[in-house]
Amino acid sequence: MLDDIEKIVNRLKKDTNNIGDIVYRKKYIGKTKLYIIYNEPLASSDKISDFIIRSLTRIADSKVSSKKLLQVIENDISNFKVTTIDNYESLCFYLHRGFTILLLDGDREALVLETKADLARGITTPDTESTLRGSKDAFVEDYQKNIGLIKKRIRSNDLWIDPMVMGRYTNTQVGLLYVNGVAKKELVETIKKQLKKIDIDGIINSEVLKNLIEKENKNVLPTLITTERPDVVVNALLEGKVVIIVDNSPYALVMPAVLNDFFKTAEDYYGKWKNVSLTRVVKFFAFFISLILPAFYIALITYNQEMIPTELLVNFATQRDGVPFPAFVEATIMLLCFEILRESDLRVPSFTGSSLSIVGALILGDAAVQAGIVSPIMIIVIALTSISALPFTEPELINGLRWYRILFMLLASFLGMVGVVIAFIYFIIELTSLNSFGKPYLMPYAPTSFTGLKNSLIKFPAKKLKERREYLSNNTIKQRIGEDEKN
Amino acid sequence: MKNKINCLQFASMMSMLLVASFLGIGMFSVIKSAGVDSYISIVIAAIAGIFIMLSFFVIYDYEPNLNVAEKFKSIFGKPLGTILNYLSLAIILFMGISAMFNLTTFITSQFLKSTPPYLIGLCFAFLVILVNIKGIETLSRTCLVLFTLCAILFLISIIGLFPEFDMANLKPCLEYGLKRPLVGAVYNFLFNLLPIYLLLVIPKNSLVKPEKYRKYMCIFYIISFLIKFVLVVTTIGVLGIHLASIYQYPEYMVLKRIKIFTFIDRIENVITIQWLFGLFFNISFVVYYITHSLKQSHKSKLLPVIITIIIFVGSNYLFKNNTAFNDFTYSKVPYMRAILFFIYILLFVGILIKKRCNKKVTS
Amino acid sequence: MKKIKLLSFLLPLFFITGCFNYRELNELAITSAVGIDKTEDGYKTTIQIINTQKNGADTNSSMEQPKFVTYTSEDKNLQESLRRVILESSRRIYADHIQVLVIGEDLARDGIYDILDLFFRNSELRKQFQVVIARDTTAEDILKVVTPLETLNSKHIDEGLSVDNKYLGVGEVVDFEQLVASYLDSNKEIVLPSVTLKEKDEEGDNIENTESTEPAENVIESTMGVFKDDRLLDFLTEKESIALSFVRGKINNTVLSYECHDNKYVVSEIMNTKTDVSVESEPLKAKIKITGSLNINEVTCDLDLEDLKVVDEIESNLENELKNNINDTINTIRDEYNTDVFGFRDILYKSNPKYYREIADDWYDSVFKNMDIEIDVNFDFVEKGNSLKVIKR
Repeated sequence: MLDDIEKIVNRLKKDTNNIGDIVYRKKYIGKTKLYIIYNEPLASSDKISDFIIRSLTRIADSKVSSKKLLQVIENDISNFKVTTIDNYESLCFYLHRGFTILLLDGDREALVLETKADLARGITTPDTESTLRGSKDAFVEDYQKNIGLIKKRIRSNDLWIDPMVMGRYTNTQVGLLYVNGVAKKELVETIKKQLKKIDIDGIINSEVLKNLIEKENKNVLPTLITTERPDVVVNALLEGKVVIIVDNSPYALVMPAVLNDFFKTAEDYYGKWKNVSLTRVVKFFAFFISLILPAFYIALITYNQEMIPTELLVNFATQRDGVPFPAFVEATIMLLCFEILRESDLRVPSFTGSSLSIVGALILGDAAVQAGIVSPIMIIVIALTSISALPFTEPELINGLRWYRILFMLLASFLGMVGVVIAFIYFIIELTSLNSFGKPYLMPYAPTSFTGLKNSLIKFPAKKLKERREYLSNNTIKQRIGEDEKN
Repeated sequence: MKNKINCLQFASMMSMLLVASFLGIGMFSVIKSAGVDSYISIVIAAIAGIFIMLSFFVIYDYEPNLNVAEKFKSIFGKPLGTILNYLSLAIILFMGISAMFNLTTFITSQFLKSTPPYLIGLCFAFLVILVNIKGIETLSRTCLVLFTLCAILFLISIIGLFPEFDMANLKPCLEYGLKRPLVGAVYNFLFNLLPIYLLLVIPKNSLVKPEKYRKYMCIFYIISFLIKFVLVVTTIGVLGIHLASIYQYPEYMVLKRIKIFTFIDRIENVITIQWLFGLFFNISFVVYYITHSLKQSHKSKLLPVIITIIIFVGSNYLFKNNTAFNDFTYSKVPYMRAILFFIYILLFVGILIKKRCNKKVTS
Repeated sequence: MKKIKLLSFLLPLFFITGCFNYRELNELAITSAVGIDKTEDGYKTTIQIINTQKNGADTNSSMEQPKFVTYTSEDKNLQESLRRVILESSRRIYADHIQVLVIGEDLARDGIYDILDLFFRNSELRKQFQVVIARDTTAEDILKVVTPLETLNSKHIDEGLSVDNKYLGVGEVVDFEQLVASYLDSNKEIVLPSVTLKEKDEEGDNIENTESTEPAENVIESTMGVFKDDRLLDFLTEKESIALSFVRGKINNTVLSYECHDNKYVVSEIMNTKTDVSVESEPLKAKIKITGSLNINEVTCDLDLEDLKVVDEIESNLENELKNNINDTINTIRDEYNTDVFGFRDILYKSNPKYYREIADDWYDSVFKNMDIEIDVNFDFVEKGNSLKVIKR
């Protein structure tokens, strides 16, 4: 009940410790007392003076009875977005969103007018997922702008958004987007249920939300994609995936994500299918090299020397002559150095990228070889491993692979090639038992789905990709132009 | 979608069970009994295996929501069914023990000579427990991935061995008549084709599209027959019968001769991975079978652990060394397997009789 | 899942007890060749180990170290004498990369059966190394020579054998597995290539051997030795070795010549040879059919090479020359050695086992010696090189 506006104003002042940022402006229209309340950092003072004060002054000039004052103001005010509220909690809610509250004395309802200030940066190019071709706008920290960037690309009634507010103190706006008719209803329901279960102090940005949703997944590998490119999000939406946009965060969450999706980049939508297939095969190899190469090398050098050709073995033996550490310790030391270099490179305030750290590492490695601490072949192996982990855009994947790499190396140094096989079987068991929001993690491969295979390791030409993947959507026809071309 | 598996995964599990048990005992028994004509015994056994496939279809279609233990009980009544069930479980447990022994002995004798076999057995036992706790979905998907890798490695080995193949090694053909290949065919039938029946533990309801499973099973049966046939022909053709019968693991020794493009040499350890995968899957499927054939109330996460520990301990202490194992397997195990085959034939005959009775009742 | 965690905590306890089978590269003595000689009461083994020390700043001397080192030891049986090398070496012998096994001539004449079992049974050994006999010398002396052009002695022997087999055919490449297969099969007989030393007066087992343009000592490939069961009977001449290789089908490329006048020859290169041996039963007859293609490489006779008849005559002369060579070789081997290295017995068994079983017992007594052998050589003349005619004034 918002009748007694003085009581409400006093209550508000007490709750917010009479902070000076919240402005209370008293105004009289005729005999009715009006309070205009807004939150100065969040509201745009220009809009308030332009729209509200001027309209109110105009309304005050035309004599209106106090009973109909609310309707008249609601009708005549120049702000486009107007709502009425009737309780204290909604008042606080809208106040903290940058809206302006109009309290009328004696009236049960109050008016809420939209006057938000633009506190986000402008739309710029993406930093972490740049491509050579394709659109170069990226998400920013404002919820409405991000939604706008997506809606600009899917101009259809079927793009449905379910908004939610999460976080006890932060009250962050979170939106769940999906295309009606393409996405499966069960998936949307599952995700909504999960989101409703979350009760936490604050959602700072989307990565925090990602951790909360993924709580059921004890594995180190990611089951969501975080992206800052709107075209990736739009492609995912059209396939039947669900996207979550969180206010104050330039990264959108796309779910469900299976292992295959981490091998794709935005470039894949724009290149020729043959070139894209080759790139995918290269990435596939890079994944396995980054996972298995140090373990394979350790197993070859210390247990299975019979697998190396004789001349190469003599070379290795000559290089390792005089090196004091066993192969496993050497590999661990070098990996640790590379990881330290990589982490420090991220903190260095320049954007020269990872090439600086790799060059630095090689020079460090060269000096280490001269000093006799490591052998040259180990430097090559570790450098190749670290570089092979970099073609993937999802940092969680790269970080998750580290655990498996350590497991492989550990088992290889105890049991040789057999250890690598045992670790590989363990890796496959973990991958196949992982579920990403109900979808199996090795989707096009393990429960084999032929429509999924057409866009996995090798990408088929666009003519053959007419169908959506069955596990994502029941509405599988994607393209209809091919049928007309036959005539 | 809980506990639902694809027909493709189902068929690949069958294929893996058939091919993987060929390492060690399978090849050894066939070459010892049939000599140069081993490939003929494979063909004869495959033709006889069609009977197993047909009886499998009949048993599988009957009462699609029961697994094999329950089918025993429903056909034969509770006491007789339970006895038959436990008897078959005991023989299958022994199958698992011999597969585990095969695996650890192979690895210890060829790769890691000073490592005690129980250490390797422990690592694999851990993996088997892990797979079984996660359920049939994980097991079947893992099998599909591992089977694809096995097929690729097999193709590489065939391409590499092709230049070394000498047709003269396969002659003289049928020197002593058909008797010896027939004995070899019986061995092959009992060791390598009987595991098809193990798949009965998965009730038909667990399949996603149950009407398609026959097609996939027939295709994969032919594929596994081809794999075994090509394996035997290549081993004897490249090594010659005298070497093949004197080696302990001829199918591994033959891989040492692969030399593709003169620089891909010494890759026998990589190609042997296919047998490690296969034997691992054998053991884990045996554990799964036993877990799901015991009473429902015993079903907990502890049961696979117990069974795996039994298999692990058995494989360490039951056989003293490989010679005792070979001898026992060649002379006594065929009778055990024959008993198992007989049990399943009883089930098949029981189902046929019951169907006929039902027809008489309804008509 | 808690139980899995418990188990995974227990697992490392096993690993702490030590990794078995862990071998660093610098604890291994990588063996590249093994030589066996016979002594009065046992065997003398020579092991050639690759020297993997780093050259350069470590060593004091300005000279390079030799690339391999040899150790010898003696004992009454083979395994123990190989194990005794440990007393001399600082590293464990790692025998997986053996390339050559050299058997001394005395041991070969006495019978090689005793040494086959050790190498065959050891699972750490790959059995694809070459086996050669040391002719007129001991295996020890062969393995100590520092060879030019190849840093490793064993590689010199190994590559030398395969190059020789590819282009001349005097020696046949036999690897250990084939040797054992030939021994196990009672229908086949063993042949082995041989190596010998070519020396000047000085010794050749130090690095100075390669500092002059003509090495003081070098290992050269020699002819084949024929065996019966497991004993070496004798070595053939070069012509006989080539003819034997023709019959066994192991020739790739070789050189054949015939004399048209005194000391004037027509020399040709034979390529793409294919040998087809079949044995008919009743009456017992062996048919050897050799086909190939022919290039004329050198002509010093006065012949008109543009005349087709002359070319045909050269072709048939060469065919006859080879036919005679093979005939002589077969007769020599039948009469002097009486061992069936050609493989007729094996071919008869594989094509007609019943008939073979009837005559198997008398094979070496009467059947082999009186067997009818028909040789058919057919070469296709392909080209005569760059010059149409013979060079003459």
